Amino acid sequence: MTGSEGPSGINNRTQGFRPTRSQMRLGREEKRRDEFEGLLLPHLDALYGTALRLTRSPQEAEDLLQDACLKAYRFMDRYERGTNFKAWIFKILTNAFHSRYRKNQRERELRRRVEDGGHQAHVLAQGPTREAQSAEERALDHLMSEDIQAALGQLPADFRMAVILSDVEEFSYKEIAEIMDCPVGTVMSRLFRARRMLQGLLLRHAIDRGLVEAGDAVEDQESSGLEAPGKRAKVADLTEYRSQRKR
Amino acid sequence: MNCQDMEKFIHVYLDREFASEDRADFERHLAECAACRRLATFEQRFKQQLRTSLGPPYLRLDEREALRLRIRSTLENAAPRPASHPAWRWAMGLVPATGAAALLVGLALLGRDQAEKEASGPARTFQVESQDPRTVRAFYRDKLGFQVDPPRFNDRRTTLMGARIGQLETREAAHLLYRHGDQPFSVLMFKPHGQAFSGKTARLVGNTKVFYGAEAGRPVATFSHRGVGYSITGDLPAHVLDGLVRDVVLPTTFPSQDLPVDAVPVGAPGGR
Repeated sequence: MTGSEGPSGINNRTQGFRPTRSQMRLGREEKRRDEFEGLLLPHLDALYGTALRLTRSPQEAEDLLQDACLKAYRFMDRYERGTNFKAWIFKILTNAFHSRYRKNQRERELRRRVEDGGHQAHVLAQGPTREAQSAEERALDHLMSEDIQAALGQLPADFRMAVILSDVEEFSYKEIAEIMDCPVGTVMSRLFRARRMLQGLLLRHAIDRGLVEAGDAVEDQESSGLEAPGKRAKVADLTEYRSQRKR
Repeated sequence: MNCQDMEKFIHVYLDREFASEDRADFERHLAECAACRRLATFEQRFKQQLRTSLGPPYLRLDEREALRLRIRSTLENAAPRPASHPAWRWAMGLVPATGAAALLVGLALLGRDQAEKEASGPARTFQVESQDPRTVRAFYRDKLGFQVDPPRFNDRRTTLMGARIGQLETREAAHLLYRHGDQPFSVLMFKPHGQAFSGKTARLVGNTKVFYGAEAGRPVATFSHRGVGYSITGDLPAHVLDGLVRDVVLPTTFPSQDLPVDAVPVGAPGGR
């Protein structure tokens, strides 16, 4: 201000230290942050891992995680102390993922087709029948983590999510339904289809790499003798697919 | 329970989601049927394989620490969501006579806008970009229920950059963006609606009582002048904000025409 004489209009600088309201406010802020960190840190790896599997890129995983943490921190008053923090923050991560990648039309399209059970979904979701099981079993021994990660990456995001939440993070169906904001029945069907799709993709991968013989599954079918006619038809499809790939 | 059910529900069983009686049913069938046992063994192995291949460790220890620090700094730079703050509920009128607190809380929104601006460039936050107060005043005409006369600053390094409609509590306010040197800051103008400004951090600057505080780590100065509330804030050191408060020039009247008349420094007439 202009024109003031002597000591300026400010008068409380000489009165010794007393925390100002703003300092008290900052103190509360710090306490709040510490509390949040205390809740967050035990789940940091799991959250990062899930973000990594969802985004398939370390950089994007980190961005997504930061985004989710910021949202969680801002909405922390909605978290009821003593309840399941892990499920709560995974839900925020899921929502953050969806809002970040909402524009990904291709992803949505793929999920819709898979969930509607359209033609392509049938090919993808075929997975192993009991007949193919023996080949599957052998394939499993040869698969590398990278193969499984790559196969997971081919699934629609919601399917990836369901698998991670169930098989890696071991959430219950009820918790997954809560996190993914869908009915428990949807969780069950997503998990079922996702695992089938993974098995199908991995078996094909193993066959393509020559890790298992394409003929194994068929031999198995003939030897085990428990197949219903309907199931034979399915295997025939798979054999046809394989002969196409071999050409 | 038959083999077909087994295939359908094997995951539900392995995920331990069956009620105990269903589970018993399932296990009875498993005991009798070698093919289904084989299926169950396979699916169980597959689940384990997924867990091993897709699960931790994701990060080395040093990577984890770096990630933790990055998240910490993100949080430090962030205000919590204002509506969640207990003080915000005062602001909504449940506790009366906390004008200054309410205003400071409201400014968290301003802080967040600023953070967004920094992240995405000014184009997104300006609704009008101009150094001319008249253009800015014209932009606000009939928008807020009071006339917005952008304050001037004596210091030539301090210039108006533009403006937008901001939000304070539940009401709209004028959010003016300035620059001091290359340091951006904001002035919020609003109708206080009869709130009495009070607080321990008040200082008399000239004959105007100015309330100092901080929101989201940014210093805030709030005062009222002729029925309009002003808040000045930005990513500035407190002494720079103080300098701005001492330097601001407010109109003595709110002219109805477009030219500012009789502008005087806040505290000049009448001394302290």
